[in-house]
This record gives sequence, structure tokens and C-alpha cells, in this order.
Amino acid sequence: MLKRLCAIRIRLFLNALTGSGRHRRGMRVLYGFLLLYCVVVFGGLFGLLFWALRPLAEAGLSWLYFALAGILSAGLAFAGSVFMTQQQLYDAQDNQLLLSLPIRPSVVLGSRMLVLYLFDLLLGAVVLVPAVVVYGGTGTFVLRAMLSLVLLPLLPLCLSCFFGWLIGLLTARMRYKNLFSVVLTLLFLGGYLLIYARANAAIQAILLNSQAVAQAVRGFLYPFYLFGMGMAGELRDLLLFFLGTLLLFALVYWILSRTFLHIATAPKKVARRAWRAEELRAGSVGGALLRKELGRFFGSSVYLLNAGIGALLMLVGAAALVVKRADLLEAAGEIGALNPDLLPTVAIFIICFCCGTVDLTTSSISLEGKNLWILKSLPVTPREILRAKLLAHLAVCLPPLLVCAGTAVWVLRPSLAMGTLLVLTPAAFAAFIAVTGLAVNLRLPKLDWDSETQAVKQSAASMISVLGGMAVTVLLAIPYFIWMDTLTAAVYFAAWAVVLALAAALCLRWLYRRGSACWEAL
Amino acid sequence: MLEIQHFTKRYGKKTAVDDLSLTIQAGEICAFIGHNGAGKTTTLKACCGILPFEEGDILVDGISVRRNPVACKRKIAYLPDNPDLYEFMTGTKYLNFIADVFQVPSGQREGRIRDYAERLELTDDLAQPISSYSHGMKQKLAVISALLHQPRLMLMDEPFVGLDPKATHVLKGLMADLCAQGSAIFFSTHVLEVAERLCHKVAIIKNGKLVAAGAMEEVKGDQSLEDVFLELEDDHA
Repeated sequence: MLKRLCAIRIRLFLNALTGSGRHRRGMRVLYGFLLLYCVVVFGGLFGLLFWALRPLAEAGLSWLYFALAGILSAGLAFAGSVFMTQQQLYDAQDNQLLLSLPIRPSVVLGSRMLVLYLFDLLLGAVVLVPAVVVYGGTGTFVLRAMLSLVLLPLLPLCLSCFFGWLIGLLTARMRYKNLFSVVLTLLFLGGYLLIYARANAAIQAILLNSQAVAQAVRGFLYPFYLFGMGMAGELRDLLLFFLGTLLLFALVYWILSRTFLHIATAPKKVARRAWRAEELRAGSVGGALLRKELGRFFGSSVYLLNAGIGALLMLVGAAALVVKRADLLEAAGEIGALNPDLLPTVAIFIICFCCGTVDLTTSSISLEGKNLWILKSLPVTPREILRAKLLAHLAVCLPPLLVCAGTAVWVLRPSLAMGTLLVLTPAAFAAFIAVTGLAVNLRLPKLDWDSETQAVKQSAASMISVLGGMAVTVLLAIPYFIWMDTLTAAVYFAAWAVVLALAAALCLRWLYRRGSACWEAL
Repeated sequence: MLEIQHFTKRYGKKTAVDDLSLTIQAGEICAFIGHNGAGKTTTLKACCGILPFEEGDILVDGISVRRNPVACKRKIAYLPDNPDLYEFMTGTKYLNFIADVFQVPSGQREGRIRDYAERLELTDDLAQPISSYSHGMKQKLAVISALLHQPRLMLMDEPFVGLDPKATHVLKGLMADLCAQGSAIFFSTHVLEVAERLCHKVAIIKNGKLVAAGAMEEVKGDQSLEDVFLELEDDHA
């Protein structure tokens, strides 16, 4: 039964990614490109990191090199999966159906944990494979590396299951559990960005204090010491590490199996609040639809964090601009003497990139799911519904954009033309992303999801929009940097702003004409 | 109030509803009965403009659902068999959202919500998130939201499923009140005793075709509705 449930889980996971049969071939090609992109970008990033850590191996500290690789791999997998755990394990909509069948709860749990394991495997490999490739090696090393690739993700899986269970326990009776999840995730993300920003300094510190770091790893992170020693050649240590990991996994699985039924079927109780009639304020139809869209966005931590992260990045960027104002003014003075438009140009690219990661519309139709009947039975036109979805996207994206672009204008003091384009080009880009995202979601809706994660992160529409947004950002940047000596930045960005605005207007026209028919056919 | 004219709905090669014609006058309650998969939900969804169709027409208060769906929907309330509501909203916010869409004036919406919620014993739960509601509570909230704008036509798919006996009794009272005000109700049900006692009219559908329709007394004669239904099922087997 476990085998069959696992097969169903994997098929559901793949179906969510590749969409319906009609588009499956196209989606496979797209995922091929995505895989290639990940190999090049992440492989390159972590490859460079481990290249910088190679002196450790040359100094006879190969075990420390692999211990750090193990820590980074497990850390990334843990950070990437810990906030999926609650939804994947306990909040899946088909839990009650499966638990009503003659299937042991431990089997249902096992099939759910498999999906998390696959996710951890993928994230762990992003770090571990470049570490192994940069280190090089043949014979038993390859075998050890492959075993590590398969078994190491069990460690972050155990940790994320434990923390997922803990978060579930803490938020079970919380009224603002979404806010709690969001704050916790942002703290995680902030920590990750901090570490990433200081990676170079950290590498230098590790190389300079390698003996002290080795001592610390041996003392406080003993399992990773064993892992490092094992990868460096001590087979006994590697087997010990794997045995410990498997035992830990067995223990976690046993504990979760015993509590799964209780947690998965626990009633969702929240702190009660009395009804107040003053909450009933009348508003317009458009306002009601917009408030509903924003309510969904701010009411779901999965949606908020995945579709709105760019808005937060823009606000963080604006704060960073203010904090680093003196340094930037100095740099602007030096660089400005050579090319006065360079810093505003970089600012435009960065703001556009952030706008590309605000993706509300790309899953806003999919998220209607089983609630689709409500909008379809109400006296509103498809045009009003689509407009509300677009406005919600812009309401989340434009204010941070204006704050960030405005701060950039204040700090960088560009020319009037570049200052205007610093606002207009990203605004046109944001409008383009909003309308194209909605169009893609209309064509590729994923309405039969079990958890919101499927609609927001794993659907064909969201993949296309994220990759498309990145592709357009790259398309925006590359020609400029190739021909920057001959191009005038203001003319270049004015042309792009017009092109993006025109493309957005054309797509909007399609949405209001053909898109309405697509909506009615859903 | 509701006039279904030669309505046909096909899903690919399968005909779900075949040439169905039916009229329900203002003030009438009409039960729609038939076996599972007979075409009841398809018909109800088409009547409220959720499901597009190519053949025939459906008129609500003289307005075509195909040609002017928004105007029709302003007069309609629809209650599906499984009330999946916005779980990210509280009961109050959901009702306010529906009231805004139907442009129910502030003063009226408060009074109606208070009245219906008290009758259905949901007042204490209105401020809670819908995600914490049971099936029956969602059904009650869906009933209140359907009644908020005083619809001229109410379409309901299995409205009594999930409701406790008291709520069922209250809903029957609310349905009678609505009809007394001149609205019409068209609802599907498998509870034939309720249909027999509550409805002025009945329509029986089998394999997408209407096999009997008319005033309740005419259709059932001296027999019970259950006997008539079972006979018709056998006759058309």
C-alpha cells in the first residue's frame, strides 16, 4: 500500500507541475530549461563557493571541506522544506479520505514524507553535487558521494518534520497563525540573506581559522564531523553517520506515526471573538472584489511568501539605500564621473527583478479552486473579476516599488530623465508581469489542488510566470551591457518602458475580450 | 419567474440534459428529483449562469441567462450541494462581501444578518474564521448569504444535507416566507417526504430527460411521491 500511495503522491506532484495532457509536452521542455538553469546558476554559485574552500583540502582538512558541504546541504534543504511540512503532512485536504480507508496512518504519513524527502533531496543536491565535483575523485569516492546524496537528506527531513510538528503545536489555537508563519519565515530568510551577504568574509575567516573551525565542528556538530571524515576516506565514520541518520529517521517516523492521526484530525479551534455589527460597512462591488483578493493574499502564508517576496525585497532595498546612503553617494561621485547613468541603470534592473518576483496573478485563478462557484454565481462580469485580480497585484507591488524607486532617486540623484524612468520602467514591467501572469493562469488553471502550495508553487502557470519574469529581466539587461558604450540609457529605458506598456495593454485587451470567455468556460 | 426552454447540455458526446422545458411561477416552490447523475445539478448550475450551454434558453423574470447573465444573477441566489466558502474570511466578512456585491444597503444588511443568524443559531460564530466551521455551519452561512439580497429566484442543490433537524425546520420556514413574498424556489432533493410536504410543484428527471412535471397533487395523485418516483424509474428503465 505504501508503494501505491507513494506512486500516487509522485504522480500528483508531477501532474501539478506539468499541467493537463494537452500542454504536457511543452511543460516538459520548459522543465528541461528550468533544470538547465538551476544547474548553471546554483551549480555555478556553489561551485565558486567550494572552489574558494579548496585550500582546506590542500591543507589536509578534506573532512572539514565535506563537513561544511554537509552542513550547507542539510541547512538549505531544512530551510526550504520546514514551512512546507505542516501543510504537506497535516493539512492536506485528502487526509480525512485516506484515513477513512483501511490504510494504516503510518502508511499515509510515509507517503507524505516521501514528497518532503524528494524536495530535500533536490535542495541538498544543489549544494552537495558542486562540492563533490569541485573536490574531484574516483573509485569508492563516487560511491560514497552517491550514498551521501541519497541518505544525507534524511537528516533535514527529520529536522523539518520535528519543527513542522512543533509549529503545528504552537499555532494550533493561534488566531493569527499566518502572521506567525510569515514572521518566522522572514526571520529565516533574513538569516539566510545575512549569511549569503557575508559569505566571502565567512570563507576568509574559515580559511584563516581552519583549526578552530575544525575544533568547533568536532565539538558541537559531531555528526557532520563523522560525515566529513567519511567523505574524506574513513568508511567506518561514514557508516556510523549513516547508521545514526537512519536511526534518527526511524525514531522520528515512529513518533510522528503515533501522533499523526491525532494531529491530522484535530479540530481547528481558534480563540473566539464576539460578533460586532459595526464590521458591516457597505462598499462598492469593485472594492469588495479587491478586498477579497487582498484578504486571500494576506490570509495565506504560502501565497504571501511566494507571491509577495519581491515587494518585501523592495522595501528592504529602500531601507538599505538609506542606511548605505553615504557610501553610495561616494560611489555615485566616483562612478558618476565615468558614467553618470550606471548606478540608476543597475537600480532599474534590481527593481525590475524584484517586480518579477511579485506573482499574485499567476495563481489567483487557480486559488479559487473549490470556491470558483461563488464568483461564477455572483452578478459580476468576468471583466470585473479579472480587474480585481490585477488591481490586487498592483496594490501589493506598486507601493513598495514607488518607495524603492523614490529612495533610489533621492540617494543616487540621477538626471531628470533617468529619475523618471527609474519609476516608469519598473512600473511598466510590474503591469506587464501582472497581466501576463493572469493570462497564463487563465490558460493553465490548476483548480483541483489539495494544498495551496500546489497552486502557488508547483503549478505550470506559476513556473511559466516565474521563469518568464526572469527571462524578460535578463532580456532587459543583456542588450544594455553589451552595447552600453553606444546606447544612451534614458533612450534605452524609455523604449523598454513603451514596449512593456504596449505589451501589457495588448495583453489586457486580450484578457478583457478572449480572457472573459476563458473565465466563463472554467 | 423561471422559464426553462428546450435546455440541452452536452459534455463532449454525452448528453447530460436533453431538451428540458419547465416553468416555475412567482410564489411557487418546485422540487427537482431524480437519481444520482440524472442531470439535476447540471440544470441548476445552468439556471444560475455557472454552466454555459449552447442549446435552448433559460429566462429568469423574463431575462435570458445566456444573453444577460449578470442581470439574471442579481435576481438569483444559488446554494450548491457542498458549500465551499472562502476559508480565509470570517463569517461576517463573507456576508459583508456578498452584501457589497449585491449592493444591499448598510441598514438592511445588518438587520437581515442579525435576524437570519439568530434563527439559524449562528450569531455566536459569525466572527470566527470559516475554516473553523463544520459542514452544517457552512451550510447555514451559505443560506444566510443567499437570503441577504432577498432573491426573486432561489436555486438550491440538496439544501438540507448537513443541517441538523432544527436548522432544517428553520430553513423550511425561511423558504415558505420567501415564497410568500413573491419569490420562487427551485431545489433538488432526495428527501421525498420534505418535497411532498413543502412544494407546490415537482419535476422528475431521468437520464437527462424530464419524465414528469406539474403541480404536486396532479403528479402524485392518490399515491405518495415516493411511489410515483419509483414507478417512473421502473417505467423508463
